[in-house]
Formats: sequence, C-alpha cells, structure tokens
Amino acid sequence: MKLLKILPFLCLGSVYAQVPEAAQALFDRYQQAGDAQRGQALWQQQHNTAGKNRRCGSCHGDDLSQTGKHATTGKIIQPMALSVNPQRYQDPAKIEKWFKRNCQWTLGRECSPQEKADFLRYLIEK
Amino acid sequence: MRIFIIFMLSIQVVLADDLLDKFHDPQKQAGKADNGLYQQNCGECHMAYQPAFLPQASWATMMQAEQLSEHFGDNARLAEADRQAIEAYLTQNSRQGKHQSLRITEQAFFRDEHKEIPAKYLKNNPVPLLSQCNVCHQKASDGLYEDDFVTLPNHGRWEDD
Ligand code: HEC
Ligand code: HEC
Ligand code: HEC
Repeated sequence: MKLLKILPFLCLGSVYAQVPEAAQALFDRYQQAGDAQRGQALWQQQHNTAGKNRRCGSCHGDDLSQTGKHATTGKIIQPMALSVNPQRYQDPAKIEKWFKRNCQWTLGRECSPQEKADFLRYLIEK
Repeated sequence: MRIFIIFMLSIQVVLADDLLDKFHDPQKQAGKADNGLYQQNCGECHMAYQPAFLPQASWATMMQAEQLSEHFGDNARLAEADRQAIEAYLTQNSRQGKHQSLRITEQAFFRDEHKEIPAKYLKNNPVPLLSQCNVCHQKASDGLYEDDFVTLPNHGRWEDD
C-alpha cells in the first residue's frame, strides 16, 4: 500500500534523472530544448579550421561511449555519453566554458544557442 | 663548547643538504599539485603539471590573461578570480631560475634528465610525447618521478644502465 503511494514519485524521479539539472538550466537559458538528430549531424560534421580538418570527434572520438584522446596533447578524455559517464553535464559553467573553447577550436567561431541546445540534447540522450 | 660546535656544524650540514636538494632536485619531490582549483582548470587538456617544474617568471608570463587565450594554440582562458588564484598558487610553488621557455620540456634540467631516451623512439611516437609526463611516469600525478616508476610505452620498463 505504502509502495503504491510512492510509486508514482519514483517513476517521476527516474524521468527527471535523465536530464541533469545543469542541462535543463541551459535549455532554459537557450530558450529551446534542442534536437538530438540535428545535434548528431553537427557533431559529425567536418570543418576546415586553421588549415586542418576538425570535428568534435577529433578529441572526443567517434564512439561517445568510449574514451577519446585530445588531438594536440594526447590526454585521454573520459566518455561523453551520459549513459556511461553520469558525471557529465553537471555544471552549467563548465558546459558553457567548453562550448566556447571547443566551438572556437573546431568551427573557428562560437556556436549559436540553437547549436548548443542541439549538441547538448544529443549528448545527454546518448 | 665542543658540543656546541658539533651542534652548529650538524645544523649547517642539514641546512646545506636541504639547500642543495632544493637547488639541484626540487623536481624529484615535485609533490602532488594539491590545489583543487588548479587541478580543475589546468588538468583537463593535459595532466596538471607540478608548479615546481617552472620558474616563477615563466608561470607569471603564462598566466597573463592574453597569454592564456593563446595557450600553445589553444584557448585556456579563465575567469579573472580563478586566474589570479591559480597564478598565486603556481608562482608561490615554483622552482628557482630565470624565465627561458614556457615549456617544461625545454628547461635545462628536463633536457638533462631525458637525454638518454633514444631520439628514434621519440620520433616514432606521434603526439608531443614528452609533454605527457604520465605516459611514462606512472605516478606523475603523485609527484613521483623516480626511475622506479618509469615505463616507456611499446618499449617496457626503463632500466638505467
Ligand atoms: C581540441 C580538443 C577538443 C575538441 C575538438 C572538442 N572538445 Fe569538447 N572537451 C575537450 C576537453 C579537454 C574537455 C574537458 C575535459 C573533460 O570534461 O573530460 C571537453 C569538454 C566538453 C564538454 C563539457 C562536458 C561536461 O562534462 O560538462 C562539452 C559539452 C564538449 N566538450 C562539447 C564539445 C563539442 C560540441 C565539440 C565540437 C564542436 C567538442 N567538444 C570538441 C576537448 C575537445
Ligand atoms: C584547452 C586546453 C588546455 C588547457 C585548459 C590548458 N592547457 Fe596547457 N597546454 C595545452 C596544449 C595544447 C599544450 C601544448 C601541448 C604540446 O604541444 O605538447 C599545453 C602545454 C602546456 C605546458 C607546457 C608543457 C611542455 O611541453 O613542457 C604547460 C606548462 C601548461 N600547458 C600549463 C597549463 C596551465 C598552468 C593551465 C591552466 C591555466 C593549462 N595549461 C591549461 C592545452 C591546454
Ligand atoms: C617518453 C617517456 C617519458 C616522458 C613522457 C617523460 N619522462 Fe621524465 N623520465 C623518463 C626517463 C626514461 C627518465 C630517466 C629515469 C632514470 O633513469 O632516472 C626520466 C626522468 C625524469 C626525472 C628525473 C627523476 C629522477 O629521480 O632522477 C624527472 C624529474 C622527470 N623525468 C620529469 C618529467 C616530467 C615533468 C615530464 C613531463 C613534462 C616527463 N618527465 C616526461 C621518461 C619520460
């Protein structure tokens, strides 16, 4: 009986757990929920920046559930998929800092709020 | 009186030893870079190098705001408060010496310690290998660089001969 009462809350809890608070805060700030398919296409796109072929996978690798390797320093980067790395996407300032750096490095410019929302939706659903 | 002299002498020996140690080998006891803010902000693209590997003036140069946005071709820009706190941590724990290069791997002591690694070996490993201390020094993040903990990838444990 008691279980029945809390069951709906448990379910609610698990639905919430899928979107980290920090990511939700950013969707609110960008004023859109993002689109995972567009995010994936953007993630896989090649750019010619500073005379080199660059994409997000240059450092994060192609399989988001695996570790990546920083293109210039060689440091191992922990997996980006939230499903295998629950420590990801927990701090809006960290996410914004890296969008800024990585968009600049990869695309040669900053990303728009829509692009950032799309990236983030794709990454948290992986 | 004699006891006093012996006492003073032994103090001097200890002091001199200490000084020598600091002068020649601060890098051996590099210690852990035990500053959370530093680890968080300077340990993401490469390991958080111990402050004892660069002189004060080199850290101060590297940590200027404009310099950080052009950090070895990457953008390592920080919020101003973090930048100041990290600069203070690095300069206060730096090694002695004059500014020569922003790279640890170009310091004289570093060249000296690594000159026995065959050039051919370094060439065959693509990414700037020497900057990745922890690839060979298994306990680099604990500040332990002694030869007991050195392994060259695709080559095996380092045997000094
Ligand atoms: C030059 C290497 C590099 C490239 C290219 C790169 N990243 Fe990153 N990225 C990093 C590093 C380093 C971190 C921080 C280390 C970590 O979180 O493990 C990071 C972290 C992130 C984070 C923060 C994750 C979190 O846990 O909060 C996001 C989001 C991100 N990157 C998105 C992107 C996107 C989108 C692209 C392509 C536009 C991209 N990255 C391309 C190196 C790179
Ligand atoms: C966005 C990525 C990034 C961040 C963040 C970053 N660095 Fe670097 N750092 C690099 C790259 C790239 C190199 C050059 C790597 C190479 O060529 O081997 C480098 C090299 C260095 C070197 C020279 C290593 C050598 O070869 O001797 C030092 C010292 C250094 N960084 C200190 C710092 C400090 C201090 C911070 C924090 C303020 C920091 N780094 C943050 C990317 C980064
Ligand atoms: C390619 C592998 C490799 C890399 C990468 C590397 N080292 Fe070394 N290092 C060695 C070897 C081999 C020795 C010699 C060990 C010996 O015989 O004492 C050594 C010796 C040292 C010593 C002297 C230790 C002692 O007790 O005599 C220090 C300090 C040191 N390295 C620091 C560093 C730092 C800092 C970095 C990164 C900026 C680095 N190393 C990167 C292989 C490496």
